[in-house]
Amino acid sequence: MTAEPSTPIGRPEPAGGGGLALIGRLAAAPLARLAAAYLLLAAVFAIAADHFLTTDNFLNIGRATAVFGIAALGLTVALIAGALDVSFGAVMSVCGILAAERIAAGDGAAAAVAVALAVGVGLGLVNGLLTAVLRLDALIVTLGTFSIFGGWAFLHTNGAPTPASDDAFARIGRGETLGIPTPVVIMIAIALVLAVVLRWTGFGQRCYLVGDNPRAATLVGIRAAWVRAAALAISGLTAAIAGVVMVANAGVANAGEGERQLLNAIAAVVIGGTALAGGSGLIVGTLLGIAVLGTIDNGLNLLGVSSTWQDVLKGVIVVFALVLDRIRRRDA
Amino acid sequence: MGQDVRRRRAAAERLVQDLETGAVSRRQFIARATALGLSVPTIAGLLAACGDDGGGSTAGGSTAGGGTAISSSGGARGAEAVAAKVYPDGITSDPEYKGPNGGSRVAFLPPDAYDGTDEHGIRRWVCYDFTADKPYRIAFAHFSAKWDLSVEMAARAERAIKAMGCEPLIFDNNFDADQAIKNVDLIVQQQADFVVEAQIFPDANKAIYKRLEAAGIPSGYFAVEGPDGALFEDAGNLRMCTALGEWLGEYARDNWDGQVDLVMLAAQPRAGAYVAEREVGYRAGIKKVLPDLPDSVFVEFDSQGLLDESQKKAADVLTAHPDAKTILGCGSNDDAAVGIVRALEAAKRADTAAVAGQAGQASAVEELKKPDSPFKVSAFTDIETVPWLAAIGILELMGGEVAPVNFLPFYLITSDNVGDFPPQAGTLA
Amino acid sequence: MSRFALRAARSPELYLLVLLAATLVWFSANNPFFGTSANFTGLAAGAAVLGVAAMGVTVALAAGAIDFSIAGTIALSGVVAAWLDTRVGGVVAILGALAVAVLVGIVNGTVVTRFGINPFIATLATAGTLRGLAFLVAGSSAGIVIEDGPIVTIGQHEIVGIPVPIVMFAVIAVLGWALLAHTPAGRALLAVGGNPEAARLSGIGVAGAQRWAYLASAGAAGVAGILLAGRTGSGLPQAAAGQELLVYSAVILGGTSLWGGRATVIGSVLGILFVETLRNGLVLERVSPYWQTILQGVFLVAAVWLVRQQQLGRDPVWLAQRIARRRRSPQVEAP
Repeated sequence: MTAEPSTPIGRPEPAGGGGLALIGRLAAAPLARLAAAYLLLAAVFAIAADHFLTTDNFLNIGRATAVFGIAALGLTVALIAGALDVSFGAVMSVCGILAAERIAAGDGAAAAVAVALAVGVGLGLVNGLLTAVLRLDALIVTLGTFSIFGGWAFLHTNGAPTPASDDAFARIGRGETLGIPTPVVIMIAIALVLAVVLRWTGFGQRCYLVGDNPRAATLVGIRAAWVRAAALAISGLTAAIAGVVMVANAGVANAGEGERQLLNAIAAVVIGGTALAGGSGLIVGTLLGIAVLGTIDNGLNLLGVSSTWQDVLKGVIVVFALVLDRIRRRDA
Repeated sequence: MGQDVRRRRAAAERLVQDLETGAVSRRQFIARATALGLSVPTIAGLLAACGDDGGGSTAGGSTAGGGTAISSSGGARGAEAVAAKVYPDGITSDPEYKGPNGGSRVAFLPPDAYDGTDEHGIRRWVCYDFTADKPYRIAFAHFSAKWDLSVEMAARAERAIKAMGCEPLIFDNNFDADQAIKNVDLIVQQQADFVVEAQIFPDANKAIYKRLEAAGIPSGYFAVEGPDGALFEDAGNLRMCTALGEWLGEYARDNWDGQVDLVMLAAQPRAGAYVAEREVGYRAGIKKVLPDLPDSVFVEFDSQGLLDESQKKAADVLTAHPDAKTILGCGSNDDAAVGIVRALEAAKRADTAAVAGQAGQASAVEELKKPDSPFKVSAFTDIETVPWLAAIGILELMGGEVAPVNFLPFYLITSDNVGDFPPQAGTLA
Repeated sequence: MSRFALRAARSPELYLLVLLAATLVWFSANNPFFGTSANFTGLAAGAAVLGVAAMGVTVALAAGAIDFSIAGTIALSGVVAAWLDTRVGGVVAILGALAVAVLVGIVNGTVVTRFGINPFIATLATAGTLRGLAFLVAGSSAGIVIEDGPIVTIGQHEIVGIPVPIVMFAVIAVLGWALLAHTPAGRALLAVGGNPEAARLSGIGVAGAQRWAYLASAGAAGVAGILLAGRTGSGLPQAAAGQELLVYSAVILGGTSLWGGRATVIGSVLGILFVETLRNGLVLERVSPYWQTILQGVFLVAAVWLVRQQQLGRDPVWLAQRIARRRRSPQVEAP
């Protein structure tokens, strides 16, 4: 699609768009180390903080990460296909507001969710279409639509909140399914579906190929632009689901709420080993990235660390974990 | 010409007689007197001569100016006299509190200043129900277009300024000190006569004041103080949250025999000294009712004033205190309080909990409508009162003398009276 | 047509210049407060803070060095300047703040080049750390007041009738332009950003160049932080929160590539001025701030699309030639 070389600095990504086995092998190797780093982190907190190693606490971590986690999962698919979607935060806001408006109008939870998801897919397709028609990098297009969608959400509501009080709707954000918080169940279900799609479907395979080398993919007859558009639609869909969960939990929809989830979700995806340049990455990695971010916050909270020191330490821990990852990889 | 003056003098004399005999209220008197073209000092002087409540000239100034007439300003005596009226629900505040300036001249917006309800269901305030002698340009720079209550404040201010016969100029400070200063440049550019500044950085307010002073434009500051002596208006974080703390303390005393295992304070330590007054108030209020409560039960965390942040941190605080049964929650605003509520519900510990918030955000309104929610009480400041500062500024432009520190009333809202309270955000905006 | 005119007509900056000029003319014609010298001075002084930061970002992006920590650096530099100002004095404070910014640049450069961590996530992490440090320096307060002195002079005073921020913006822009366009170092940065492999083969140290790139973006952010502290008369740990997106948008709007190898300082200056002019004019026209956000997105996509057309050779010269050809032979009109 783009003429620009998009190799991230200093990080030689595995070249060649070979079969799934190759991709799996290359991507899985660093994940094992990330998992080890996570266990180390968890072990430190388990020793230092009381009550860390409890079921309830891990459910808390799940609940705290579900909203940005759900969005991060779809983002992973888009990024693998070479489309970094930064508009999803605005899509979350828009879909959350539209869902809340259906609730306020008395249409019920099912209609609200349906509208939100349809609009999410639609906005994702708009991103895909603009990327394809204007022949631009998805990052630029979604940086633009981030402003456009987000601005529209404010314009539409004039900055006013939209209440969404409906018991069935509220259960999406606050209820429990089989003793597990519903948002966590939704996150895991989406992770399973997307993992299967990426691993075992032709579409998944095409995502990796398009992300890794769009020209080669085009040469073998893959319509790169459409694969990317579909991946962006998936990102829009998960953003919509995340927006619904967010609003259902809060009970009120506000413009600008989704945008705050941007950095956490992207960080989870990238920590999870998905290359910003596309072509490699796994859903499991993103789940690990989500867990790393959630656990750092949770552990520091349990230790009673002030928010200022949390900011300082969180950056240091993330860099340290990634440095550790690189050093070990170099030794290997 | 001369005949006109005579007729007006006769009308004024009748009006003063009516005021003396009590045939017209002070409120109606101000409205009619301004319509007759009487100057604000004259009106204020007449009110001071005839009135019996609050007013009078004390420490503040030699003549009781427009501020007295409109806001019942004056010394500590006046402030206390009105303060008692400010709480219609019988809640007492801390009468010792004199505001950030030390209380030499503190004015309270009188609660009897309401003048009916308009088509939006908004209570109209007499505070701006007078016409300025000139169509001044009044700038209102509000916190951020991305904050629902701030957008509503701007909309109400715009309406109020128009109602006073002036031209409103609305600016969005976008929670950004640099943006606020860029806006000041545009305010100077458009030659505003008075500026109401609402932005969250107290230090930047000093730079803003300096710029406006250099351009000869007077300014007043809402919620976050300007430099010493500059006009200031707020509900008063300390007195408001002290009242909320007392309410929670009384709830614990009445329902749990005063036994409190955990007090969660969803604070905003990064918002500076003004917002920190809220936590001070909560603590002071609770301890006033329950003086034996040990400091160790108070746990403070940074909610950033956001629902989801507060929820995450509160959930972790609950994990760290598994044995706490009776729990009080104090939100630096309503969103933070609802975050505590969500965490309590998720941990299934909401039955023996009571949570308080403040601001009148939509999340609180929804939560208060539920009879079984642990969200028990919130302090709402009627947004319609915010433009009072614009009215004070206009009165000063008209030659009146006003009090520098001006307190707005607030209302303690529970599930019982939430229906009576006018809607806040999203009404006009 | 002369060669210079031809080159000017083919330069992507021309679009932005025309757009900026059109915006200026339109607002001047429509708003009595817009077209005054006082407004333009205020506008340019207001643009200076993010403008200076954008210069650093442009130079860094030439080498493909994405630095997402600039807002954190602006805040930390401002707070450190204010902290030192109240204790040691203005000149030391300025030097100290710059030293902190240089240190940030060294750390970012080291983390990215030495350990090979993805620059986006590395600088995102340091951004959080820097913000936290800014709050630590400020202590429990929401900021540190700066009394009149060198920092306030830089932020609020004038040299020969021109506000100091504008002078600093201009000086740094000229330095950035000269560096990228007329020095071997600039060419090395662009080479590293354009094709690291080829740069390495031609003997340019990729890691070294990128370390300088991070130093440039952090240094410029440090200067921006001091300017901002001077303008607001205080060191605010919350300063510039979220402004990195605006800076990057303006830089991309100007025609600099996010992926390295193509960077234009003139484009970035025009990009920042355009964004600020639009904001200024729309506020004076009393347009809802929400429209501003939407328009920013539309202009970003449109500008990048135009630059892309230029790269494909579809510039005004091409268009003029096409129209001329059509006029000459209308019968072979292309579909």
